[in-house]
Amino acid sequence: MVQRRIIEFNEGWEYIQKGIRKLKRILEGLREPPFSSEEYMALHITIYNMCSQNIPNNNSGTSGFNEFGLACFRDLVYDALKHKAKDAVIDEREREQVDRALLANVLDIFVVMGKGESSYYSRISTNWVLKDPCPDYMRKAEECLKKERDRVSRYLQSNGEEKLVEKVQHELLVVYATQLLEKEQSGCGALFRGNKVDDLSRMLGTVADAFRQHVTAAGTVLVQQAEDAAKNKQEQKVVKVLVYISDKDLFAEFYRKKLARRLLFDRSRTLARKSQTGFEKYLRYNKNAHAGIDLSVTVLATGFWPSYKSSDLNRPSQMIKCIEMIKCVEVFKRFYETKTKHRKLSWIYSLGQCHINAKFELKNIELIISTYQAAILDLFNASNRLSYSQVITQLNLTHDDLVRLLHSLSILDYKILIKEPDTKSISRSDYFELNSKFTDRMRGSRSLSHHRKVLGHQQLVSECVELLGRMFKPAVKAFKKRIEGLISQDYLGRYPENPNTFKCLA
Amino acid sequence: MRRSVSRKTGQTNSTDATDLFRSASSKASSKEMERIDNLFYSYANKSSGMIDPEGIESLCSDIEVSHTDVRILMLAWKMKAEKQGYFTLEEWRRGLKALRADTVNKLKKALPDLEKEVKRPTNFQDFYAFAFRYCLTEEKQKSVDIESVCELLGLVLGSQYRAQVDYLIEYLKIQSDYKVINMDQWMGFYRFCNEISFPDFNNYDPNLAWPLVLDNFVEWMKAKQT
Repeated sequence: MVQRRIIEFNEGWEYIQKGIRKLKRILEGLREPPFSSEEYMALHITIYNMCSQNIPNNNSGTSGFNEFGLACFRDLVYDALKHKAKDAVIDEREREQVDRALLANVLDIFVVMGKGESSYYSRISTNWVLKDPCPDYMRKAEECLKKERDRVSRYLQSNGEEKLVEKVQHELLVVYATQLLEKEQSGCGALFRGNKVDDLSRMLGTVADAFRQHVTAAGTVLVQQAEDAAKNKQEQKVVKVLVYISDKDLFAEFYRKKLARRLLFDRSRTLARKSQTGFEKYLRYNKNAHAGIDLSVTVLATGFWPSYKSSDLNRPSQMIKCIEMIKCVEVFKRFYETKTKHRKLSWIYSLGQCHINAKFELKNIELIISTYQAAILDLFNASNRLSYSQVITQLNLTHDDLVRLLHSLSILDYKILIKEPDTKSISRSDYFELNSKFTDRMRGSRSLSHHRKVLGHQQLVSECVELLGRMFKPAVKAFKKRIEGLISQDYLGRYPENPNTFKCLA
Repeated sequence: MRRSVSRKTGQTNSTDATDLFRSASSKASSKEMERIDNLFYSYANKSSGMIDPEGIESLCSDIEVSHTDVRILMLAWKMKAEKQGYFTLEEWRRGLKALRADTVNKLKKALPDLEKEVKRPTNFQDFYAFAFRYCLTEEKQKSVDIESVCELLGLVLGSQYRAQVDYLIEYLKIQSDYKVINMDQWMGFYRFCNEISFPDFNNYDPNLAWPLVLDNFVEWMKAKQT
């Protein structure tokens, strides 16, 4: 960009005065040749430069001077010039003799003027917002927009139009959107109330975008605040609950176990991905190391996870008789030994999961069950009917564990095993048979709740509460025992009016 | 009997009638008191100057009430008797005066009204608590053994809450968590019978401050019911 020559005030002012005098004569109808395009441009540039020169040469005493200068130029010169320019453009089409360079320059000015527009408009809109009731402001805004559109459309700067309209819109409307809308007497609410359709349509038409922007912004803020509040509330609730729990270490232990299960079974996260891919690689490169079934193993570091009942490394076959499973354990053991020689693996089958393809009469069904359940079912691959004692000897589980497992397979909703006799509890004299007629439609009405999400959730909640209730009963009992001790030692007494409240006596 | 003769100066508004009434009633009351005292001494042990268990037994046969009957307990309550099996003169006077009974007959006739009085809710809680305290025979004793508690429960609550009491007694006898019951638990039993719907226990909330023994009782009952 060419360095502008600094214009001294006196020099500049004299030049401007000449222009003004000339203009006056034109306006007064005296015989005066009209401004040529060059003259207009020169004047404008001079004034502009003088106003926007760097300190101390910018003769704008106040910041408004710049705008004022532009405004003057526009009002006095620009408007007058418009027609000429328009004609010139038309001439250009027709006669193609107009100095193209000049025309281009003039057009550039108008684009620049567009930039000037925004500051111009921002100033006038400030005033308007303060003074005008909303509908009037809207009308004025509309007029402005219309004017600008007209102006720009005349000068064929189509991209300039977009920019210009956007700018004006922004200055007039977006910036003041909230104020406009909230203006008491005449704002949005009032308009709605008064059913002022015309005003509203004008407003909504032009403000639509601005409005949308504003609402989105305000809404996002509110949502953020609400989320924070909700989070705080949740935190507060959790803290409240924690305060009431006297055996915090007990609670922590329970929580740890639940968290561990959640982390292990939540399929959306994959723990120890690295080691799993390592295992997969090993399987790929060792063709004879195949277990015959897909296996994925998660290795937990002892110190960090809760302790579980685990079976002995040396005799996995004691727990699991299933050949495939035994092979799996062996394969992984060998793989793990290639990685580290100093670690010992303990297998926690109670946390394992199996996908089994089971062939039933009606159709093949994929069952997703625990490792132990799978081991039990595998027994039925060899024999159709098994007694309780046969099962327990083959699997070497404890009575309690086995009862629980058999219960889950034969008494709950999905009866994969048929129990004889058909009582509601497992006894040592029971017999079990694979339920060939098992289908996935054998669900109690309870499980159909997945079609009705609301019911499912409520059910889930009540089951959770029940579970929690069972879990925390021991904690409540311990708590009550302590209260009893304090009462018998006369440290605590009940309020006669409300026996659920205690007072300190000591 | 002595009459208070001192009069404040200037007081001349006592009429003869009230004076007469006063003197008559005080005469009567003194007569009554005399009879009450005499009755006391007819049952009391000469050496201790108190009515002891033996005396109470003979009193019971006179008023035709078994000495294990709850009405004797109610009488003791009315007297505010402190020691089980014994009545002092003061206690005796207190009770019989309140009952307006200065003869065996009158005492016998006063019993139904006494029962009604005790059963009034405001009084009953007090009576119920009294019944427990009455069993604390040793000094500094705070709890009562299960056996006695069971008997007492039957005695004081049995007529009103037969079913609950029977089950509660059964439970207390078979459970092994508690060998004695303290006052707080004892009062809990009454609140329990009074407030909790039976036999469903629908409004029983173990998360409230009920004594643990009742939580266990409800659990036991519910297990029985399934």
